Amino acid sequence: MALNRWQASVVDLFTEVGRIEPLIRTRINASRPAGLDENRFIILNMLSRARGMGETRSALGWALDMRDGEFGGALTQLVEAGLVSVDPAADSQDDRLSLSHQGEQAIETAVLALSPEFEQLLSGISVQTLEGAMETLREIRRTLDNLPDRMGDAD
Amino acid sequence: MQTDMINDETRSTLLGLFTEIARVEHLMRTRLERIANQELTAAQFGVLNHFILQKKTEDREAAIAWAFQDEPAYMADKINSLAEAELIDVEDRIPDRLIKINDAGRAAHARSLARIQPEVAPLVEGLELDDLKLSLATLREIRRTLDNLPDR
Repeated sequence: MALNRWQASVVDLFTEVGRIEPLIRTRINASRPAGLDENRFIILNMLSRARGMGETRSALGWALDMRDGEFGGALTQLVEAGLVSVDPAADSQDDRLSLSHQGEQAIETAVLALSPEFEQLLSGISVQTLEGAMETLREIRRTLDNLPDRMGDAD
Repeated sequence: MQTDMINDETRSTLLGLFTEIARVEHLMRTRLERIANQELTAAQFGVLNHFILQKKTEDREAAIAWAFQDEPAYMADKINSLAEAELIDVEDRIPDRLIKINDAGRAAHARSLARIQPEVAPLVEGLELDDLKLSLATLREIRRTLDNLPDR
């Protein structure tokens, strides 16, 4: 069955996403801003975007969909380095994770360290255009997150 | 200071975009792996897709590795597995191998796309084609910029 124009555009979009991701990963891993590799950078970034409310360990692990070892390893290092605080809730089996003050500083330093890279990317692209692209990807990601077999993965 | 050139809002938008890119990439890759595993791995599909999308019949191994940002040895493994499955033809050349997609490779790619179709269909519901195209153009622009950075 042939793909329609929407579907073909989504496949093209995934191709770009698939090509950009390793480029960004390689750049972050090469420059290691504030000593962070990509996995740790993303975990801190996600916690930073949770606006101080934190995330449960299982919710964050599910959202990032990293397999146990990958996620657990990166998280353990962040906790040991004092960048992520773990709050074991008494009435729940799920730890709540949040950025420590040190973690906030680390992500801030990392983001500033990446600023020159950002500037190069931004020559010629407006914030509005970037927001549009982010909205589209977010929409697609939410659909992916809500597909029945992905929901099952959360267990 | 150079960093004053971008403000917090821009920085936050870019970080949000990168986070979505990383998450969508991961989710799609694991899904594609699951669907296509009767025939192709996501990595193999990616290589065949490279030829189809670029409308190329042949490309140098080093150029493909560069496009995917893969280590030469890792790309060589992918190429060898595709050659073993007789989906591409490989010619030894100097300084690197010349890779050609063959009819069986094109057919395998088309079959995988057809298998992906039901997965892709729900993703486009509620998305405007114009928004999709604009987002695609934005990502392409970002990728081209990344591809052309001096240290790439």
